[in-house]
Amino acid sequence: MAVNRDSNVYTIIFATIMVVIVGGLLAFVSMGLKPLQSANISNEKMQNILQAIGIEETDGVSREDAGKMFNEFIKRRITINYNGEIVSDKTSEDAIDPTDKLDAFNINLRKEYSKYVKPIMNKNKGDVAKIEEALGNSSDIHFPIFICEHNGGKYYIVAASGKGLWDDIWGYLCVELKGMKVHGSVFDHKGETPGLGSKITEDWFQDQFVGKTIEENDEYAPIKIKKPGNELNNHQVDGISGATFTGVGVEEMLKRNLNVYYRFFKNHPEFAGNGSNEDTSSNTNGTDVLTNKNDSNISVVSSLPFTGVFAEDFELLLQNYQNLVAGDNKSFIIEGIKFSAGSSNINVKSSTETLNRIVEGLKVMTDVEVELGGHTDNMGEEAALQTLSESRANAVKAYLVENGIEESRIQAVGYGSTVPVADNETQEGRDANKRTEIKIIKNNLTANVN
Amino acid sequence: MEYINIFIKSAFIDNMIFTFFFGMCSYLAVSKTVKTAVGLGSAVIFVLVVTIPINYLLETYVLAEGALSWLGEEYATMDLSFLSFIMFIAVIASIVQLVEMLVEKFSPALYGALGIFLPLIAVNCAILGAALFMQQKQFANIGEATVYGLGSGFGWFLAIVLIAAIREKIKYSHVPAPVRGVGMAFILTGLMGLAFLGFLGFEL
Amino acid sequence: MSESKSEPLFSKKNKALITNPLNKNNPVTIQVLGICSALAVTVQMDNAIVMSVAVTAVLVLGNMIVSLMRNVIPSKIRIIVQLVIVAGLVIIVDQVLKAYVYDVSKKLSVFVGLIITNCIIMGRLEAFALGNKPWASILDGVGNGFGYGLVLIIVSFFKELFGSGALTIPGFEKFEIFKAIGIYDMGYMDNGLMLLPPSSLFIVGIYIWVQKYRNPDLIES
Repeated sequence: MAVNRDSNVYTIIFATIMVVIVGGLLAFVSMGLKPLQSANISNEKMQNILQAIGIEETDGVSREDAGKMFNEFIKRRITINYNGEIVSDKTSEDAIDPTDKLDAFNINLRKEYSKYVKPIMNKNKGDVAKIEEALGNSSDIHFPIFICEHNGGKYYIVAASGKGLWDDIWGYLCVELKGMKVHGSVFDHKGETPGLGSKITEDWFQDQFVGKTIEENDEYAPIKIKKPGNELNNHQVDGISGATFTGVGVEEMLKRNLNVYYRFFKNHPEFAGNGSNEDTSSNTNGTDVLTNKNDSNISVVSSLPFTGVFAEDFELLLQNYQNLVAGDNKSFIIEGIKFSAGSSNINVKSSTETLNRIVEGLKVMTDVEVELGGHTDNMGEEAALQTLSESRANAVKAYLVENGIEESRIQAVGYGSTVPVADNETQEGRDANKRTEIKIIKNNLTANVN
Repeated sequence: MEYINIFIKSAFIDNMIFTFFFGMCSYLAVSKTVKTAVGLGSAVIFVLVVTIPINYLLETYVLAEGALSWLGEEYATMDLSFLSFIMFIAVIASIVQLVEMLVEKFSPALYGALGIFLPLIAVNCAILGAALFMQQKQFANIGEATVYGLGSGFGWFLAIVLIAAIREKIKYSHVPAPVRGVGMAFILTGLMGLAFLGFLGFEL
Repeated sequence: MSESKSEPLFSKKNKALITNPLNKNNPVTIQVLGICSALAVTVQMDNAIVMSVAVTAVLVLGNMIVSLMRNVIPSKIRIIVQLVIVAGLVIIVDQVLKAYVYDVSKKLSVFVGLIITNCIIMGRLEAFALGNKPWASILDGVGNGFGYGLVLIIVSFFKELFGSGALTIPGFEKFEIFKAIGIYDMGYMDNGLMLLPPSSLFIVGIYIWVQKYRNPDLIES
């Protein structure tokens, strides 16, 4: 070739032509594919929201169908701020406008988290009150709520975002206002360890949240992620083995975000009022009044005249349980179950009679679900005592299950040394505190009485 | 405090080599002696500390969606993020070239130490990888981004110097013939990576 | 191009361009190039396969373009020109992935971008395409892309099989192989270590061991 390829002029001309060609080509490709890419992103978001509802119709919806179904199910989109005040309220009639930053669908919780929430948390590390105040004052932080109507029921889908082990995690939860129960959940992550932390996207993990509640005695009660293999109460789910830090992240994320929504629902009782879902709660008012069951004339009671002696009280319970409302009724100390010191081995000789009595009783009271509570004295490490009480409660449960009681009817809970009934300073007191309790937590015969 | 956390995280927990394998090519090629390892390691730190803040500014004020809004209202919806790969690599390549020229001119001694490694770095995945992660992590300000660059570079430096020291010693061991050299370097890096897993979740 | 007419398309020499990189001149295990991405995307087989296809596509196209332009590229800005070509191709690949296989592009995240600095690509452009005819360059690209893909697929096969007891192949349902043949019932548990970064290094190390054991010419002195 005649052209001198080493000359500066040639080099510059070449570079210019190259930049123009490459730039033009890239811009062309990017513009051409942009609509497809945006549709992917927005459909994925709709897919996540729909999957969180936890109803059959939207379970496992594909990304392609999500766009169509979204408008069919989601009737209202609300945006609230940290204090639970509404800042935007749209219905499914209003099309989603990508430039309307306040539309609930356009709220990017992840972006807001890293841009506004994280700096505040880092600045006031550990000072909860200050963090709360700063978050409350910020006008940049928003939370979306999607209201789904289906078969006469209303479902409230809320969003959460936080940090896992490596990077962002986020998710949607569907909450029923009655009893503040979780109805469905879906989580996703950016870069959790594949095969470990990334399992938060799997069904078994997400399904665990269904039926858990975020309320206890009219107060907010965060959902806790426990080490796998422990007994769980209705605020706890199993974590993923080998992914403790991701679990901590999920717990922190849910705790912080759900609190905002809880506040909102409490401040806006009008949402709780209309179109509530079918009654699944078994709450009672907990007083000693006699009430009439709506559909029959049986008197129900929330308490019986117990004497404090287990054998007698259990007998009384057996005779009257049909009318007893579960709730915060008395828990019985089971006298007569003995364990080997420091272990969860039941002392068979001295305990069999009592245990068999309970087995017989539960076989009669087939409509009743019970909680077994393990308690210890305060001699030792709190964590060890907690474990011991849990494993003792589980040992009793195992015995009952072995002898024919359905496992689903029994919840074993460890309380450690947190609920003493006597003075831990004396030997008698400590002996009294080491105990197993039984409590009726659900009675299907009276469950529908309010 | 935040700066220290970012540094620790990028240097030890998200170590370029042990968790992301960034810059493995030069890591394996230049880790035969400690002296060259120190040279290349320092060059990586240097280039990262210079390029990450520049790429951060580029990302925040030019490339990201809505980043051009300082030009005027009509630019607020522009999204040039599809150009980020090419812009980042261009910045890295030209900065490396520029640095090489400056160092050669003003500090021949430093050039003697770093010079031959600088051209190698333009195609070192660690540099572009750090830039892409910087983009993903959306740091709040340029200070955090710079510290991230410093931490990542330090982590890379640490990794290559450590492996070089081990490889110097292992020459005198009876390694089965087929794994001699690169094979052994892989397995050693894996073992070191296991040790670095111990930093997981570490935070101040 | 007219130059290639003089010899058959798949002459012995050209065939060697494809077969050599699969074994005795493998880009990953012997030339030790392109390792970053080779190790990082191997947790699941589908990611590894998509990554191999993406790298092969960029490699073949890049080789072809550079080879066609080899007589017009100014030598002063040679490297930059190659980088721009590769970066442009990678951006196109990235955009296509985002538009058509969104789920995979999410998993590959920054590693798509890192194809740019994949030393295999720059290495082949510089060492081969710049001095050879387009057809030979294309074959060289295919061979090296396959050699790279081979290692990726082998590593991901072991990682996924022992780490999650399953194999994912694009276009098929996830195949839960261990559950199907009942290994869990015999007391086996998934090995979480296999999913963590260090295990990729071990597998490649062992791969090199086996390869060099069978082919002693490759042993380093």
